[in-house]
Amino acid sequence: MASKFSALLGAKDGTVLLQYLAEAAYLWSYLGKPDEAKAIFEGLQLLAPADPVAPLGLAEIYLSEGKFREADKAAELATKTENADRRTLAFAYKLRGRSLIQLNKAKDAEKFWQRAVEIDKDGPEGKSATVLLAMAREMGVLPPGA
Amino acid sequence: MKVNPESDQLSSVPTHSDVNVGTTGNEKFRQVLGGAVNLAGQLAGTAAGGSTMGLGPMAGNLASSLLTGTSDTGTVDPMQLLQIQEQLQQQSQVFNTMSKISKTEHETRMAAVRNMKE
Repeated sequence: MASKFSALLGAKDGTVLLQYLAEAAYLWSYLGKPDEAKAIFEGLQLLAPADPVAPLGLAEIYLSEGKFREADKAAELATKTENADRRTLAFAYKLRGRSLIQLNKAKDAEKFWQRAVEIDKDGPEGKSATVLLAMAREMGVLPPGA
Repeated sequence: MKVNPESDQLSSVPTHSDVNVGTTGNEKFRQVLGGAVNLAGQLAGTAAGGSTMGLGPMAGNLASSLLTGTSDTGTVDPMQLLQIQEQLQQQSQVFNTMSKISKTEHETRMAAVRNMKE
């Protein structure tokens, strides 16, 4: 389906269109227009169901809207997608942790953040999750670690 | 009516020399020093670039306001200055950490977008 749209736009394959839509959605999100971004991410989810970008984007929007249960579900969906690489997977677990912290499930949140650290140990998301864990412990959100 | 210019009826009116100037030497010194610290802070902020995000001028303003609040002796409590410095360093550290996390997340998002396949 994406390739048909891409052909109409003069692009070689559907990937270009998907990337264009994803970037457009993030741009709306950065501009503080979550409704516009959400519509594009939902369309993207239909066009590329095996890709983690759409559920990740939706999870972030739900987080910003205070819909933490929906955010957790969307992030969970992102962890189960086929095309998720290490870094993206770690990011998805980080988002799950954030949603669960808001739902007063600190233990589960810690578990997911630790999983993010394990998955992308030497990568940027793993390091970022380590910082997040340390900060949460320092602030007393999580019990002090070993 | 005859006016006697030698009478002392105007003696209660303050003469020019009695008027309070307003700014004592001490206060002037504090203003100048505050301005200098402010300028130094702005310079430091400019030199440090985006990583401090204008903390230099903020430090200058804080120091300036601190100086204006000193006693008449013109002394500044070094402990107060140290406290402010520590606070600023802490704020700067938190800001840098959050900024790094934000940057990493943006790069992760864009990496995921680049990895998209049909």
